[in-house]
Amino acid sequence: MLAFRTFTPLKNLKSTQVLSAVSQHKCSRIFEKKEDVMASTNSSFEYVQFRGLNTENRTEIKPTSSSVNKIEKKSSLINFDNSAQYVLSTVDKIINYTRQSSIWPMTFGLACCAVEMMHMAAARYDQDRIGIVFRASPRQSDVMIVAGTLTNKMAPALRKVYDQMPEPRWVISMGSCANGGGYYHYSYSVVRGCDRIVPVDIYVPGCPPTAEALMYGVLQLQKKMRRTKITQLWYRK
Amino acid sequence: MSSIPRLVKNIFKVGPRSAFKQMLTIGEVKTGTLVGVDKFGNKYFENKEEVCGRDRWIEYAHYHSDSSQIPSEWHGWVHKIIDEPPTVNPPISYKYLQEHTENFTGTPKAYKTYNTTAPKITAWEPKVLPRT
Repeated sequence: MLAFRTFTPLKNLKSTQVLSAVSQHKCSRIFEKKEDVMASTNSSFEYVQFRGLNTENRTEIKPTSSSVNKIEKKSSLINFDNSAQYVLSTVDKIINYTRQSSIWPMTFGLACCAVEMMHMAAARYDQDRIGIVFRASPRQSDVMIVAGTLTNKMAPALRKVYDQMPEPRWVISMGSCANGGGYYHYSYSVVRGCDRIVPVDIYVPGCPPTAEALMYGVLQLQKKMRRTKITQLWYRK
Repeated sequence: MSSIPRLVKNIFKVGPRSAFKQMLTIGEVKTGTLVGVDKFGNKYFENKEEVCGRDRWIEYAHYHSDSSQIPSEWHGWVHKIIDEPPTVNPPISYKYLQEHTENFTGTPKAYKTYNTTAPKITAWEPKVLPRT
């Protein structure tokens, strides 16, 4: 049941009641907000996801009135409440720098995507130059690259390996099979996306993605690591 | 190719400041001719004496660079799709061309999909009739 840990609980309704309640809610929402959605393409959307209930219309769109620029200004690191936060932002930068420049991925090569993952390690794309070293042990790695079709048989092993990884940990889902089942989406023995088993940070599309695409995915993950505010969040508490 | 004499020679050619910046970003010190600067401030260099595949390179305007910051006309030159840079042979600019943006993934401007179609499934509302 670990896989369902991240799902949002919908009050204390029974399953049939939940289904009906959600879709009714959404029907009214969609007809109300259709014009708003088309009009405000520049504004950001808030998402409320009802996961794992039905495949159609799982997301509900709430266009927020605040513009994008407003959000950017709020989330930027320019305005600080006091000097302690200023210092801690620098500490965060150092921590993020160390994290992003020594990514040790746990290789979870399952299919042909693993070959492209090896290409990333080879001379042409040369992952060593940005500090990536493959580790075969989950205890010593911080990123897991799920490369290939995740089958039902392999899913418990994947979750176990993920649980063995120390915090902080990230997951890169590589290839359409790992992203959402891909070619084997309707197979009886394949998990429809590895995000049903582990929380995924970066999805790399492709079948299989080129080594270049995977490298770009890793660079996106570095970007994500750069945004984390570890000590600042600790201070805010 | 990369060697210590070449490194020292190039450091003296480009100067210590540029050499330090290049070591931080591209990991080696290169010299070449400045072919052009695009509208975002990225600088494009070329040195024909380098090994094929390393003879064209970019000095990004931002320290945290991303390959999607290259506009389309220069993308072709950097990836050797076209021989001449857009400074020599500028591409045709159509009215319908959008302005180039970098990849906004992970920023507030990131594209998020949304559904505008009516749902295929219509659910009923279960009503419990009072017992008579």
